[in-house]
Amino acid sequence: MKKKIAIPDTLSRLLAVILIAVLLSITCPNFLTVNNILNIFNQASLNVFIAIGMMMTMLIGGIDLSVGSVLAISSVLSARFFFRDDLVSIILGILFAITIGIACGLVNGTMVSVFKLPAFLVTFGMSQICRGFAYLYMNGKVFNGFSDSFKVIGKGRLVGKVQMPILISLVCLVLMAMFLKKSILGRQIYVSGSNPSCARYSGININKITMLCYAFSGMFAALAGVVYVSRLDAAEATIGTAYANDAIAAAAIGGISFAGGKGNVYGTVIGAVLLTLIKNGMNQLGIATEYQKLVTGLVIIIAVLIDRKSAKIAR
Amino acid sequence: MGKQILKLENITKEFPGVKALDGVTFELNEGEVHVLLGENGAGKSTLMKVLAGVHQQNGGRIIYKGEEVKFSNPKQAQDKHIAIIYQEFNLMPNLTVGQNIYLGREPRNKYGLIDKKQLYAKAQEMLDFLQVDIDVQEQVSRLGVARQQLVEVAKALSIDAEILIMDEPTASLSDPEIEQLFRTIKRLQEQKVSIIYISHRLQELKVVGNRITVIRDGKSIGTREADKCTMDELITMMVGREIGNTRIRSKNTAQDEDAVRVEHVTNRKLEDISIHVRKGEIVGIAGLVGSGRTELANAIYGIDAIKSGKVTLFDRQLRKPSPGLNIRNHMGFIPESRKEDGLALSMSIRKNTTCASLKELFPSGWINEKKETETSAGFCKDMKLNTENMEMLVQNLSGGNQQKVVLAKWMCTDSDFLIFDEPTRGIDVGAKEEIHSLMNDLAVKGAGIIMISSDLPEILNLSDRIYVMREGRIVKELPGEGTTQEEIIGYAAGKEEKNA
Amino acid sequence: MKKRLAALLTGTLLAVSVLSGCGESGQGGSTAEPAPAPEAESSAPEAESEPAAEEESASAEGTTGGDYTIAVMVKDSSTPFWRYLVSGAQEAANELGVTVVEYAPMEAQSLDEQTKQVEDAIQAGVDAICIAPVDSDGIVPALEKANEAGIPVIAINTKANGAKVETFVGIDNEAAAENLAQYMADELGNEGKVVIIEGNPAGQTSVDRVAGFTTILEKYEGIELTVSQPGYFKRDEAMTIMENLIQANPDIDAVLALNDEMALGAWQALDDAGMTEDVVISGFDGAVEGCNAIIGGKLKASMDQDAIGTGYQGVKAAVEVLNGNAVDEWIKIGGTVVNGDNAQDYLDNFAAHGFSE
Repeated sequence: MKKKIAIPDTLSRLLAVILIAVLLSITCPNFLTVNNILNIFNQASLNVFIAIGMMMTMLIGGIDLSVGSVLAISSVLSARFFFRDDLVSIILGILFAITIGIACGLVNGTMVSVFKLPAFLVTFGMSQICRGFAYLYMNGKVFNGFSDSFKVIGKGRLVGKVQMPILISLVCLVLMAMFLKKSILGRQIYVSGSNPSCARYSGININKITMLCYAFSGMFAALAGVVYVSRLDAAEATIGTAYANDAIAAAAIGGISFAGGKGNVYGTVIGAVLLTLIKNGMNQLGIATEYQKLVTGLVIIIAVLIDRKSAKIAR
Repeated sequence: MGKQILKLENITKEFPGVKALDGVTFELNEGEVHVLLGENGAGKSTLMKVLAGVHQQNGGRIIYKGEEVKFSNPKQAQDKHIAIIYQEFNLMPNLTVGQNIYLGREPRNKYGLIDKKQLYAKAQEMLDFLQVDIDVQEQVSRLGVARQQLVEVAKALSIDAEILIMDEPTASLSDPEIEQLFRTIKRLQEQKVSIIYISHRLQELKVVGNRITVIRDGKSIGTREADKCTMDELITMMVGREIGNTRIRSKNTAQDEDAVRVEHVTNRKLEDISIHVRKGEIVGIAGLVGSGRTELANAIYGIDAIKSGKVTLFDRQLRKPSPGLNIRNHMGFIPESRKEDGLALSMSIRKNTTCASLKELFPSGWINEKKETETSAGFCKDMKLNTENMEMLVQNLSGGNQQKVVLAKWMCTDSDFLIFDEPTRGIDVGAKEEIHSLMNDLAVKGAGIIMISSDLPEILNLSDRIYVMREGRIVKELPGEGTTQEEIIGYAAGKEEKNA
Repeated sequence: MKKRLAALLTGTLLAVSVLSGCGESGQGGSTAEPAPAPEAESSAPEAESEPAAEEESASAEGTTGGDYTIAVMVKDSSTPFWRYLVSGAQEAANELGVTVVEYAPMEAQSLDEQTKQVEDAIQAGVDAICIAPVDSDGIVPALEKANEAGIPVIAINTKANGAKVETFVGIDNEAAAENLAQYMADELGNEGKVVIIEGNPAGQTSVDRVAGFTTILEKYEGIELTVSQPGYFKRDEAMTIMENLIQANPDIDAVLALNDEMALGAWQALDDAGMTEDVVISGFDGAVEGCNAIIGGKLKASMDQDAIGTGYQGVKAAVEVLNGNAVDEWIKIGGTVVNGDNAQDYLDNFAAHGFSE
């Protein structure tokens, strides 16, 4: 019974990814190489961070459109810490970026929970505010030339050839999966998402849970910002304008319900990888970007459609 | 009195698993106000929905103006000039009074566009006839409840209603407003409009009604002339039900100390409520729908804010009471609607069972799934839940089993004070008995219990003391033993208005 | 309504100018805000900065300003290129004694917003419009409205394919691209595997640059040419594209990106793959970041678009037109290849205008 309920969702997605990968490895010779596989995971990792945060807000029936801008503001404000080649400064910088991300998330969460404003509008507004501040602060500048120690975060390799962003996202994946499955707070997030009224009667402080989820979203956006800056050696105000869309797409493909209460980290990560896979494969096959968009759109709709169908069968 | 305009003969209506109407007969004369009286769930509203075309009867005939009719949708009933005003009004709050009166039937000009001038002129006529002073251009959301109701009446008039059904029209009106409503009803009567008046307020029935028909458990019990019957007679007709053969609670186990004390609690829905529940005592709260029972429970539990007054739980007054804090102080609340408030339907039995007691079970903040499964399986077994698979989703369980999961969830919290809000509604007899003996056992073990129920035999069989509520107030405290259903209904429906 | 909007804008602007005043080091010839308001513009402390000593200032002496207000409309409020351009425009305005009002769409590259801004400028009664059209065709109806209102239009940086435009001030993208491609071909010794990182295939700038590159590179038998997926002028997109390309083509010899940011994104990808030693990269723009990258050895070359000069010449041409003087049909700007020899000179010039990062 357990298997019938929990696994097929994630498993079928995994199978879809594998199927596409097999097709691609048949059609393009350079696809199935260790380098390219690592490359795909590395490219997906940025979206993985953001999508995990996005998933947290979607689990309680919310959404966070501000992730791209929070990423930008936290990375440009913390960039100055990353020029110095000393560990303390870098750690302080990362903590500073995360603090900014969490602060933005808490503001979002407060507006949504305490003031009962629609998440869509609040986070859209927050997105504009953060972007505006980032523009003002940077005034068209770009920061480059960060210290070598800092570049390890985005460009370092461990265990042979595995890129750091992959390892960091793996750690986040495991920690968040554990948090959601094993911790009381994680459980309370699911209960609040699937039935807020029941959560309330069960003594769960929904406002606190909501703020927590948006804080997570802000934190992961900031983390993605740090990795971005390190990877591209550039901090600028224009980073990440389309990232919220990519994260929502990954979460939707990953089976996170917009109504809340349903979905898990694994699905989200698979969604992010699937998106990258499509892009990578089509790039390698030399298919034009327009078709990539078309295919991505179809994949999202089909994924959601399958979810709806299987939910009906379950009932 | 005028000639007969409507006759309902032997109407039956079944919903899946429930027989809502079981042979109801009802007559209505021209220009008459005929009151339909009955307890909660007696079948009044269902009967009227059949007449208004919302539901279709499974058996029986509707004779209207001498011929048999059958309405398959509300529009058909409307075309025959039968109008219904629901308790929850059917108005568009953002449209004007005039637009609402003619909603969907707006007068058109020669271009096929809405003729606003004519619309407002005709709407004004309706309001003039009712002798009410409402601006036809006013937005409905800006009107008070009483005036919105008059707009509904005007709307009914605009379809030249010959039969007007009013469902609990005075439920949210003040005394002067009620008087105005009664004047309006008189005017309608003069125009030969026949009115079916649904209510359970005994006081007003004899003022407004010509005849009174009582229905109970989906059956019509009898019809009386309003000026020739007594209130006691009506109450007996309403109650009439057999009280279950034995009193479940054989012994009053109430201790001296209070589990909870509620003193002078007032908020939006409640007025100066003072009650207390002792440890080991079951206290029943009776009252009709809308009397404020659930609102009282919500106020005690910390869901709704309290404006003034205080709640003391086990001799401690909580500074900022919230469900979470109350649970930690050993209070539990089994809410009325298990699907909406009691359960997360898309989650498993295991997760639902432990949902309110995670912090007590796992003080470290991390869930041990093995322990969780064992715990929930234990409580579900105690509740005699007929599945051992704790991973089953709650949405796939039957109503009775769902209620058992709710109970298991609250047993899991190890509460010493529990509020049961309609604990046995929609549950079969066997499950009902199990729940009753569970409550008794809890009380014997020393827990204080509040039971809210519309099921009077249940209240009488189980309670040590009974509070009766009406219009947000406690109107009477009665002993559990020796009290009759008639007494409770009498207080709940306001028979002794002056003494309350 | 209009008044309230104007008040709101002015309010925002005041807040913004205070912020920018006390925030960073006060560099840059203009403030970064998307909304225009003359008062705030002229009160910004940077506006008083000394004009740089270069040939333009000498040639400006013959022209006198009058009391003109000139709208300078750019495509984007935040990227360095447009900041440079606005600073050049401001410099010309200070010299000529005219007022410059900057308009930039909130959403970068938004035609819809730019069209509205042209209408707003007409309503505000500006004397001339210098515009960098977001879309060469799409902007035409808006410019026709300006024509009707008798407001002269000067196209800067990007052409407009219609309406009456007094002059076009900007680089000849195709010629400049040919120039740069020739330089790169020489560097490669006329052979090797070359990748062009495409910008936005729907934009004229992209089309011209790619055409210029291919015209030259196709002349050489030894050069194998690949045009990439579009990177939309974005750093991270270009990095991803490059990472994917490396998988199939580990033997790339040169990358020609359509702007500096994409060139640097490509460099990051090559750096990850340990290929920077074997690949030469060129950008396009020749902005501060690009020049630094050339000096730092990341890029081989870039193309001077002279953004500052574009803004400067645009405003100057507008004043000429308003004074009734004739102007050339195309005032050509930039076109010089930036490489290790001259990058420092360009950096010095940027620094003189207050752009150092």
